[in-house]
Amino acid sequence: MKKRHFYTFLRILGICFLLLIVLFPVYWLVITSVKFPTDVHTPDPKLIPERIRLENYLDIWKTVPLGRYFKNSTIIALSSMFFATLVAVFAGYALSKFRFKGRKTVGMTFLATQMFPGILFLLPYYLIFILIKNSLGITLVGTYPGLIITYTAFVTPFTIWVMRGYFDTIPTELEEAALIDGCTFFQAFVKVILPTAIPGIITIAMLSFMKSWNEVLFATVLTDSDTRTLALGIYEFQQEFKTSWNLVMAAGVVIAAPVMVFFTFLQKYLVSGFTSGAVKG
Amino acid sequence: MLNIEQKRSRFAVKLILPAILLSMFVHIIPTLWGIFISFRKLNIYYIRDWTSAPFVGLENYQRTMSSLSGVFWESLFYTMIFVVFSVIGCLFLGVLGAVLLNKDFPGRNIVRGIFLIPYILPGVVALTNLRFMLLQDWGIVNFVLRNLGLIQENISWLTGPMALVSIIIGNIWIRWPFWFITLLAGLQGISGDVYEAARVDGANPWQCFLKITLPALKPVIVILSVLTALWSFNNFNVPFILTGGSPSKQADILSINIWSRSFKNWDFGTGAAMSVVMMICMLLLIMLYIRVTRLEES
Repeated sequence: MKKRHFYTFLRILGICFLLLIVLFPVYWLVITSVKFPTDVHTPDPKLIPERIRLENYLDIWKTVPLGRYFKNSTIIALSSMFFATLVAVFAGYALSKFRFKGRKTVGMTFLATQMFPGILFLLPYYLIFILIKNSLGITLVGTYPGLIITYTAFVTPFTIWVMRGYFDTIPTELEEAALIDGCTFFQAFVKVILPTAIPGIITIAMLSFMKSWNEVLFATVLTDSDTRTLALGIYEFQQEFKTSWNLVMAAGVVIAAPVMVFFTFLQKYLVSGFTSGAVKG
Repeated sequence: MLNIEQKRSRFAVKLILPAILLSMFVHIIPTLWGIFISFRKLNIYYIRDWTSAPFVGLENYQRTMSSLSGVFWESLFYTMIFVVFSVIGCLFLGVLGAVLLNKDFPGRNIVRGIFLIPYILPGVVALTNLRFMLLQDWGIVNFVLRNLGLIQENISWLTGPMALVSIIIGNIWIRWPFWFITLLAGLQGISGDVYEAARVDGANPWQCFLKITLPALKPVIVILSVLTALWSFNNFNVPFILTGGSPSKQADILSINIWSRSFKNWDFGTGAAMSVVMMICMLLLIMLYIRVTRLEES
């Protein structure tokens, strides 16, 4: 009996340890975002501030055009989320349920692209954009479509992998039954298979949204001041307000908020999406 | 008339074609082009008209290996430390979290949700926040350590040798929840009967963990390690944001080293050559890993 108490105690201790690791930085982020500058830039910061300053959340929109960045990031992230999900659902389904020539090679190639260092293909990629502009007259650098294509492609290898694992768990009989009932392949896919894959789809949608919301390296080269994204915005903040960490943190909270709201509502799906998809070896 | 198999196969090709085209355009062609650039003397003078950049054979590679050798090998060395410790840290925290939350208890779903926060929080925000916490003068980390009497002088976490520790911590903090949730899913797949049987045989929880839990999780751990190693090896965000874009020698891991060679020194040829070597290193790493895990199995 005593031994069991000991193990329960250890478990609680462990959980508290992990909670502290996660929650303290989050707390520090939020609390700093409502502090007065003088309470932030001091060697003796207070764990619980004596006064708070909500105006930080108004100030952040003034010097750095955060509103515009917000709009840019939203457009880019939602579009690449849409396209990445579409592409990954199709490709994942094909890789999971169909036996065709070169299937293994294609699957491996997708995984292998994860190994290509972004830093290696950033410059050639930029040069291709310039080439397209010079020969076809389509501007991609500093435009939404340029970034949307980029981010869509960045996440698809991983999202295809998740979707493929997910479709593997859905019995083939389901599709066959629909085919016998007279559906075409496409109808069977859309009407019968897709609805069962919703948790997986939500998972990959979320993942692709986060990738574009977060990306820094390619955004530094492929955006201009009109299309700059939030991820660069927070960096710009540190330059503009060399000493105003309270504003940097307020901007951080604003950047994090949409994703956190998304997640809170979709957590159930996200977890089950991972459970059946990503785990598979 | 096409038979059903041919029809199926045509349908599959249509489904997968967009993904292939996208990957060709963004990953494969630019990467091949990058390899091509690594044989050219492409610098600021030729960038306007990059087709005229002279072919220099292996000169860029020679420079990487010899005259830059100090810089390159050192950077590779620190990158390896970064990757290895990141994987170990994620493994530790991920397994710990998964094991602790495997058994149901009131509020488990809430705790699970909280554990996922670092993964959901945008990386730029999480890392900027960690940077702020680690600041030498105003950082809360130094404040706490000082008040606990563990240090006398403030540690400079973001510059000098400690920057390597900081980027490892930052990398682990944003990645371990992915391990946690995948491992938890793996654990839930182990039948409770196995543990029951072990307990009847007199095994203690630690023995159960070593003999049942770990072996069952091994395939998942292998995949997670490979993915984490790749993502860390390639990582740009963590060192870039934590060090504010100007890392010390110890935090100057390959991706950021190549970035500054290419976009600060405008020496794209050498940058590309370094990237190719980096890619080969990763390939070797993976092959070694697969070999080792296969050997253990047989």
